Amino acid sequence: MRRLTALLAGISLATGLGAGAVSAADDEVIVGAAIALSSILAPYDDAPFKGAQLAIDDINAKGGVLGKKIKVVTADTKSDPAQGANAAIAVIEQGAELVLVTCDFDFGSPAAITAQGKGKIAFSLCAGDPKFGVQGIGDLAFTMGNGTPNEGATLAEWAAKRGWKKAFILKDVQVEYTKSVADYFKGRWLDGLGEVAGEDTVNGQTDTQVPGQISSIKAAKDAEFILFPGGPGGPPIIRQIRAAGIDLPILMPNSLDGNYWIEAVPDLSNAFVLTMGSIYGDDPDPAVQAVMDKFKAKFGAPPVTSYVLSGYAIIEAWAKAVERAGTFDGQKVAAELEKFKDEPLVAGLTTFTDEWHINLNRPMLVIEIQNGKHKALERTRVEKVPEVKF
Amino acid sequence: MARHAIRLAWPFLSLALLLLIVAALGSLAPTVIQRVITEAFIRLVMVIGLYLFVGNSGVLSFGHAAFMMTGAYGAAWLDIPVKSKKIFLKGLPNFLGQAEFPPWLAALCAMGFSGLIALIVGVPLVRLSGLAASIGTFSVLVIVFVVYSNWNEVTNGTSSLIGLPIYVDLWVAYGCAVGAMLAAFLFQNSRLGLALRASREDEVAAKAIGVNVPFSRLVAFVLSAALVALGGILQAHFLGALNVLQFYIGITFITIAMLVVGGTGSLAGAVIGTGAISLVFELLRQLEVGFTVGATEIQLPPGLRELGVAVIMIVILIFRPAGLMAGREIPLPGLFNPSTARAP
Repeated sequence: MRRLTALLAGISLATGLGAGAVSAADDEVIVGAAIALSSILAPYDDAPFKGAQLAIDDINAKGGVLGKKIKVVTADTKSDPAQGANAAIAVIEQGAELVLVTCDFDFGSPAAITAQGKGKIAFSLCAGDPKFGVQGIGDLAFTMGNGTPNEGATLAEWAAKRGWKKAFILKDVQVEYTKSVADYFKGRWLDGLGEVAGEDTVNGQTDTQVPGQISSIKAAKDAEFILFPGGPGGPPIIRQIRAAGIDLPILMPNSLDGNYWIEAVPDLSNAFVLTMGSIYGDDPDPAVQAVMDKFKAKFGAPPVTSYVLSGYAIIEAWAKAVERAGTFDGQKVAAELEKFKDEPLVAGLTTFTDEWHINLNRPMLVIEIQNGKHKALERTRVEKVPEVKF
Repeated sequence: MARHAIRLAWPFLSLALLLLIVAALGSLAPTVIQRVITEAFIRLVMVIGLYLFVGNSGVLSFGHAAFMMTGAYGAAWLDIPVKSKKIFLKGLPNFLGQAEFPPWLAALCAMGFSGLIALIVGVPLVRLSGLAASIGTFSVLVIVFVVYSNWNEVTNGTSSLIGLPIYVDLWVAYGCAVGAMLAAFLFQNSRLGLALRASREDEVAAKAIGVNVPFSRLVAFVLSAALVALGGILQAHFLGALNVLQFYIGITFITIAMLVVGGTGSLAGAVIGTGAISLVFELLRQLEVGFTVGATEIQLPPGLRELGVAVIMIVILIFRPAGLMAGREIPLPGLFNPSTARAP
């Protein structure tokens, strides 16, 4: 028994010493990433985190922030919300002034709450839930993602601009994000833009066969397009819709950006995705294209999704706010971030207010898919931002 | 006289002392390690709660995570600020929606609420035996999980519930762990506890000497649910965030593994099992994060932690099928033990 006690004591001391040894040098400032490096959310955090690293390279090449070079430390949350709080503590103990957290409200909030408690800014890589901010976490929590009200309303207004009047809404109930985009789309669409010819729900995670949903699309005879905010399980559903001979235009939000899934639906045509920017080498904005080129040069392949831009933009935004505040102090930097009004960042014109720490009216790029090929169409900006509902 | 008292209370005192040493060492360590130890203490509260029923009655329960859930959400309903409740929990009845209890009172109410639920579901459950009872407890877990994941207006569904006051630190967790141990220790030495242990060894014989088996099981089930609920409450108020997935299959098997590895037969088994698994978990996590030897960085693949714990469990079950403590409590040192330290 005594041996066990000694062992416990020894190990707790040894691991303790190991963890406490790192701290920031005088000429550098630490950015901590308490994100998913393994398990289910890792693919979502990967692209924006690489984007953040690119921005750090760029800023360091220009002399850093307030004369200090940015250094990155990481801690894996293992896609476990509970582990997220520990990961945030781990990076803050190493001196992090900015904590990057996972790209989702449910998974990222424990880390953000912890950072908030320690007076540090927490930036979600791309969470789209408006709760990620003052109301849900606190005044130091921000997200660079596009709010679901923005995505839903932008899709509705863009569909109206195409001259479509009758929508079929296929709502994916897999996660909060997909549900929320569908709801905000519907709210904006019924606000004088058009009618709903039919709607149905699907669960991208559990519904592998969707004959019921296909029948309801066929039954909605006068539908002119399908709104489908799908999650990771979306592509097989699109494939089944096309295989059933339905060739209506399909509108999708940022979650179905990227061409990694296009093999699942060969020769997909007449589909449109709303994104932060084009990863296909044809973005109309030269600043975005420059980031894409740098990404390819550093990592050897083009990014998988445009979320790389949100990661880049976080570092850009934080560095600007720090320079304006003249300090790394969380409260003062947050106050500067709240003054952003149409701030030009690679993720698009960005506005934060003391009420909303998420983007609700940022312009987004529509990408058209024809014969399995992606092509940038146009940037479009929502005119009437819907009221946020929790 | 004093010696006699110490001898009687030794199984509890020894463990409380052991935890005190761990907590004291932990308070000197960096925050990350403190948090790991705090988490281990919280798990310990859950495992002791589970032990109170499983260890004394011999009926394995797969359903105790349900009471962590009812406890954690129950406390959250009472102590989340009214402002946050208006955002996340619109469907709460008015008396809950307007309430803002101090955390300790919220915790007590939630433990009582969980005990009440255990009392209701326990009445039929304790009349089952063996595998049927275990599966019965599992169905309770599934029912509670499905209800809490879909009752959006009251639990925020599958989304995280946040805004809980964060008051749990190393010493709060230590205090609760010792309190839970004391409760379990008093119960197992009470008349009812001894009767229940008798029924564990031989149900027919116990009945023959007049033990009311269903009643003593029911009391243990209710007490154990309240303790396990405390574990859930602590976890929620340690993280500040609450999600239904925290209290489902994962935690069920971790807590059972801790109890089985330590040995279901004694309080010391619950404590040593929790300590051992927590330690292995943390060491493997450190290996997954990576460490440097000279100039080379060694990093083991993610997922090793789960694999490592599985291997250790198999090894222990092969060599010590009754668990590390094999049903014994921590032996009394010679000084107090009349059989080894005789007066000259």
